[in-house]
Amino acid sequence: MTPAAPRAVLAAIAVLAALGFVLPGYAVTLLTEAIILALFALSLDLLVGHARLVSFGHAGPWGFGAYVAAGLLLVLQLPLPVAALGAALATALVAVPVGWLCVRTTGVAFAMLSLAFAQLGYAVVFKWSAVTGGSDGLPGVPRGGGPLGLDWLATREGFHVLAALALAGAYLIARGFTVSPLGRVAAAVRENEARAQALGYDPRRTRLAVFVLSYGLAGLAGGLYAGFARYVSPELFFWTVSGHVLVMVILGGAGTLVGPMIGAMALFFLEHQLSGLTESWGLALGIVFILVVIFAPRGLMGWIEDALRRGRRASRADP
Amino acid sequence: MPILDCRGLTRAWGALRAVDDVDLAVEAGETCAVIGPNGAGKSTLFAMIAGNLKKTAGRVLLDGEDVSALPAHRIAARGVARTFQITAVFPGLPAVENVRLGLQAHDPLRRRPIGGGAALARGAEEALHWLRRVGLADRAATPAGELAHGDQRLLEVAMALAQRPRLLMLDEPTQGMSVEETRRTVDLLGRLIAEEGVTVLLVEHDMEVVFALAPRVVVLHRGRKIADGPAAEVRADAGVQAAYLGGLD
Repeated sequence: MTPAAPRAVLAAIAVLAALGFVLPGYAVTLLTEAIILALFALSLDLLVGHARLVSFGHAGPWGFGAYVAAGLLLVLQLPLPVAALGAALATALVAVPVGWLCVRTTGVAFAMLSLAFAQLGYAVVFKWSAVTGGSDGLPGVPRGGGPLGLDWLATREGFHVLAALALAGAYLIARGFTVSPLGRVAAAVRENEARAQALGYDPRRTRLAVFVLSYGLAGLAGGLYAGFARYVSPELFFWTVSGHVLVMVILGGAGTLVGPMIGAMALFFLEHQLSGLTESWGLALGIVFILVVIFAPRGLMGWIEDALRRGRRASRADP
Repeated sequence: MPILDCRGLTRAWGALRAVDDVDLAVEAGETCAVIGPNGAGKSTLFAMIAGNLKKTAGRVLLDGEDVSALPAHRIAARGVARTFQITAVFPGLPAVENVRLGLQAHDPLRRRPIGGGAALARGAEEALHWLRRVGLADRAATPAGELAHGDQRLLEVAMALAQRPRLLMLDEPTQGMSVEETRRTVDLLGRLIAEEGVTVLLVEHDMEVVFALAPRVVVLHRGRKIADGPAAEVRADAGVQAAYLGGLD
C-alpha cells in the first residue's frame, strides 16, 4: 500500500517543474536529469518493491528506450514527446517476450536473467555499428518540436516541464496500477505464490503484467534521457547502470513508489555535491549507503514516515 | 454425476508409488475424509487433484470434464478451493484483503490494471461478511502474518469459502492447534459446511476431527486405497485398524 497521498506527490512534482523557471540554467539542467532518474527508479520500484522481483538488468529497457527515441528523433525527426512515448511503447512491446522468459523465475534467477538481457542489449548496440554507431554511439540527437509548434518543449525550460509531466503521468499510472484489481493480485503473488494460484490467479501472467509496465516506464525514462543528453551510447546498457538505479530504489525505500523517486534525486545530488568536494566520493557514498541500510532499513521513505508519525503523535499529546 | 471423479490416479517417484491407482468419487453435498498414516499418499493425492503435481497416470474429472492437464489456477477457476497443510495466507496484507482476493477471483473486473474501484468496494464489504462468519471480523485490518496460528487457519477457510467453491479441499485444517482450538474449529467447520452446502474433501490426521465432520471415510495405506465407506464401518474394519494403528511401521 502506498502511504503517501497522490495529491501531495503531484504537488511536489509541480513545484519541481516550477523550479525550472526560477533556478539558474545550470541548476535547471541538473534538476531535469534528476527528474528523469526519478522516473527510472519509479519504474524499477514496480518490479522490486511491488512484485519483489529484483531486476539487475534495468539498464536494458533504459538503454533500449534511449536508442529507440534517438532513432525516432534522428531519422524521422519526430517531436520530442512523440519520440519519448514511442520509446515507451516499443520497450513495453519488447518486454513481452523478454518478460515471458524472465518471469518464469523469481529471486536470484530472475536477477540474473534480467541482467543477461541487458547485457545482450549492450552487445548488440556495441557490435551493430551500422545502425547503432557501435562504441561511438549516436551523437547529435536533435530535440525537435515537430510540426505541431511544440518548439518550446525543446528549450531548457520546456524540456524540464516535459520531464516533470512525464514523471507525474508515470507516477499516476504506477500508483493506479498498485491499487487496481490486477495490482492487488500482483501483491498477492508477491506475498504467497501458491496461495494466489490456489485462488485462481496465474502467477506468471500477473508478473508479466508488472514486468511490461515497469519496462515501458523505464523505456520512457530512457527516451527522455536520449533527448536530454542528445547522445546515446552502449554505456546506457552497462550493468553498473542497473546497479545504480537499484541502489536508488533501496535507498529511497522499495515498494513505496515515492521513496525511490526521492532516493534517485537524493543520490544524484549527493553524487554531484560529493564529486565536487573529493575524488574519493564513491567511498563517501558507500558509507552513506551502509548507514542508511543499517539505520533506516526501509529506506528514506520509511524514515520519513516514522518521523511524520512521531510528529503527529507529539502534536496530539501536546494540544 | 459426481463433482470430483478420480480414476486410477498414480504418482511414482522412481520405484516408489506414493499414490497407486486410486479411484475416488465425491458426490455433490458430500463430506469425504481421506485418512491414512504418515506417508500414505494423502498429500500427494491432494496435490494431484489441485493441479500442483503432475500425474504419472490416471485422470481427474470435475463435473465430468477432464481437468487432469490443467494448472492449479485453472482448476481453482473451475471451482476448487483449498487450504494448505502448512498455513498459506498473504502475510503482509490485511486479513480482509486476503479474503477479498478470494472474492475478486470471480469478479469480471479482476484483471483491470487500473481503476476497478467498484470491484474493490463490493469485494471489501463481502470480505468482512466472511471474516464475521469465521469470527475474525475484529481482526480485519491486522496483517494476516500477525494473526495467531489458529486464526490464520480460519482465515484460510474464509478465503476458500469466499471463492464460492464447488469443491472445498481442506488439508489438515486443525493441524498445529490446541485441543480447545481444535474443538472450536471443528464446530465452526461443521456449521459452515452445513450452512453453505459445500462439497468437502478433507485430509486429516486427527480421528476425532474426521469422525466429527465426515460421514464418509477413505483410507489410504502405502499409496493404495484400502477402505472406502461410511465412517462407522470403516472405523470397525479390521484391515484399517491394522494399517492405521500399526501405522508407525
